[in-house]
Order: sequence, then structure tokens, then C-alpha cells
Amino acid sequence: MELLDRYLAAVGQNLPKPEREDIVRELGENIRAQFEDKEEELGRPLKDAEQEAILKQVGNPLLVAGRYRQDDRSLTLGRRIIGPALFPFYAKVLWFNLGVTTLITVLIVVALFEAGARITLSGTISSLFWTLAAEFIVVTLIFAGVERHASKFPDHWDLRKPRNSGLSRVMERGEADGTPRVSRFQSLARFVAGAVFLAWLRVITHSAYWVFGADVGAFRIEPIWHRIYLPIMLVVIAGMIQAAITFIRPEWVRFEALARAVLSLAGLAILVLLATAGPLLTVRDAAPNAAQLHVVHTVNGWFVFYFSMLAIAIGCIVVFSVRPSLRRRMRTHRQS
Amino acid sequence: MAIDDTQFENLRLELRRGSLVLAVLAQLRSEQYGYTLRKVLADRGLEIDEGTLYPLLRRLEAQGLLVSEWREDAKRSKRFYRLSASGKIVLKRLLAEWKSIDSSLDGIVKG
Repeated sequence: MELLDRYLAAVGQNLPKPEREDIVRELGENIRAQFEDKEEELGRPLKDAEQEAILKQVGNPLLVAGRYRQDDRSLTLGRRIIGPALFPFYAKVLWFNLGVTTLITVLIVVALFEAGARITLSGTISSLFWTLAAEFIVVTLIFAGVERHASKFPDHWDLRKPRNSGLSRVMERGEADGTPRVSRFQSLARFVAGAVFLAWLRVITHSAYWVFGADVGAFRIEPIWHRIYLPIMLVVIAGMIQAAITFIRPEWVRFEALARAVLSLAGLAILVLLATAGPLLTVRDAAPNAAQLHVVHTVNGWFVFYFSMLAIAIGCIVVFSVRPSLRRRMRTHRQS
Repeated sequence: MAIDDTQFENLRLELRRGSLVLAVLAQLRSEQYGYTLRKVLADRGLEIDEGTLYPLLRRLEAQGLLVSEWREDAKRSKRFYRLSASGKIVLKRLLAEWKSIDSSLDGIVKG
């Protein structure tokens, strides 16, 4: 029954927790009854291939779990883009990314408003709208691709492989069957966040109007920003590549930990460079007025605050990323 | 414009969806568990995927049309479903509606 257990585990990890045990138990009993019926018909125990044929008939674990979610919502633009089985996972990734982006935007707007910068409501809404629209498009395109793949190849999943990379594990959480894995939800969310951040960075560096609104002409961003633009881009792109790799190969836990540690250290180096570079924003005018000086002073203060917080967060990420690998290494060393 | 297979499949599924609910409710006038229900329906000419039927049973139960209980059968615990009191009323009304649609369609198709 090993194959059946793995199938049920794959269905179970995509089900809502309160109902998971009950649904898996019922589904398992129904499939076992089907196995027994077939065994009686053949007069012998079922081979793995025969069990697998029955499981294929029941359906892709992800899609079966989606049907149990009692969620009939779907995304339709002329024709169906994302069906009800995949929609709950799509909604989860989309709301997570949109929520984080909105939170970050609100923090930036509050900081600039407090600094006295002239923030216009229309400018803020327009900036937020385009960022969220970009995020919506990226997430929708990814899930539309997954949906298309699922409809075109409904049998493209194989529970006999020790590390199944099929659709059934697209949204799995880590360690569902006891083996450590990087959550695909996390990898996908990081990939989308990286793509949107790149788009945002490009817009900001090409038009400071999005940040400073009508006051854009009064301030100057120091050249250090232009020097670190490329390193930031490279770190973000490397992070996206790493997220794409761990999406395809979630079992590469060590690679993920190592890559995250290296990228975090690179991020930390950029932050140190920024924090020690002196004022990051200055007034363009040779004889600035008090209000402009206040804006510059407060914005630079916020930069230092944000960078310190980020540096602490990144430091924690580095420690938590390398700790499991170090522990494993130490255990192996002690045993040998 | 020629209708393609996907379009036909979508229309077919739409047509089947309501009929499946009716068939499941009618069959559950006598108690069954998921797998035997599927077999009985298939024997009577109505094939239904496991991945569709089992979640449908839970959905109908959540809507109050079915009731269920875990019970021992052939040394194994199974979840048996049967029509609830409100399910019986709904089934009666749905069957009346079905008969009315059937006779209307018959007249329309025959011209």
C-alpha cells in the first residue's frame, strides 16, 4: 500500500487542516475497496502498475484536493484561465504578494509623508496600482501556464519517483512525508516578489517622480545609488534564479540554504555600503530652505532606520539558513 | 463555425453536472459508501469519476441534503451516506422539475 499512502499524503498536504484527516481516511477507504475489488476479479494481489492505474483514474492529487475544497471560484477572461481546482492556491499566492507589496508601499508613503514630502493621493494610488497590476499579471501568467499544463497532461504525475516533480507537488508544504523540502509556495512567492521589485526599481531609478511627486526637482539622489544599482539588480536576479531552481527541485534544501546565505551576505554588504556612504539624499538648490532641509534630514534618518532593520533581518536569515546545515555537519562529524 | 472538442466537452460537462446530483440523491435513498455508490451508478449506465463523486458527497452533506456516519463493514470502517429529511424534499422537487424539463425537451426535439 506504499503507493496509496504516498498518494494520500500528496492529496492531504493540499487540503485544509481541519478536514484533512477525515477526507484522507474516507478517500483511502474508498480506494482500498477498489483495490480489493480488482484483486478479487484478478484472483491475485495488485501489482504497482495496476495500483497506479487506479490512482491515475482517481486523479491528480492536487486537483482532487482542489475539488474537496468546495471552492467553485475560477478566473475567466473570455475563456477559463484558472479552474476551480487550482484557484485556491492561485488566490493564496496572489493575496500574499499583493498584501506584502501594499504594506511596503504604505510604509514608504508614511515615511515620506512624515518627512514632509508633498505626497499626492493620485500619485500614491497610481504608483500602487501599477505595482499591483504587474504583480497580478506575473502571478496569473504563472498559474495560467500550470493550468494549461494540467489540462494538457492530466496524467503527468508519478508517485513512484522518489522525488516527484510533477504538478501534484506544485503547492506542497515542506516535510509533508518526512523528507525536508523547500516549500514551493515560498519559492513562487519569492520569484514573483523579485520580479516586481525589479520592475519597481527600474521605474524608481528612471523617474524619481513616483517617490517625490511634485517635489522631484528639489532633491538629488546621491551618485552612490547609481553605483549600487547594478549589484542590487544582480542580487535580486540571482535570488529569482535560486527561487526558480528550488521551485523545480524543492528537495535541494542545502543548495537553498547555501544560496540564501550567500545572497543575504551580498545584501548585507550592499546595506553596509549604503549606510556608510553619508547622506543618500541632498537638496539640489545651493541655498535650501528650512522645509527642504527638514525633508532631507528626515528621509536620511528613515534610510538609516530601514537599513539597520534590514541588516538585522538579513543577519537572522543568514543564521537560520546555515544553522541546520552546520548542525547536520557537526552531527556527522561527531558520529564519524 | 465548427465547434471544437474542448467546447463540446465543456457543454457536455455542464449538461451532466445537474444530472449527477440528481442521480446521487436518488441513489442514496438507500445507504451506500462512496465506492459502492460509484459502482451502482456505473452499473446503471452513469459513469462518474472518483475525483468528482467523493468531493460531491461531502458537498451535498455540507448542504444538509445527505447525512453520513462511519461504520464497520467487512472488517473495515467506512463512511456511509444516506438522504437526509431535507434531502428527500429537495429530491422530490428536483425530480418533478426534471420530468417537466424532460417532457418539454422531448416535445421541442420532436418538433
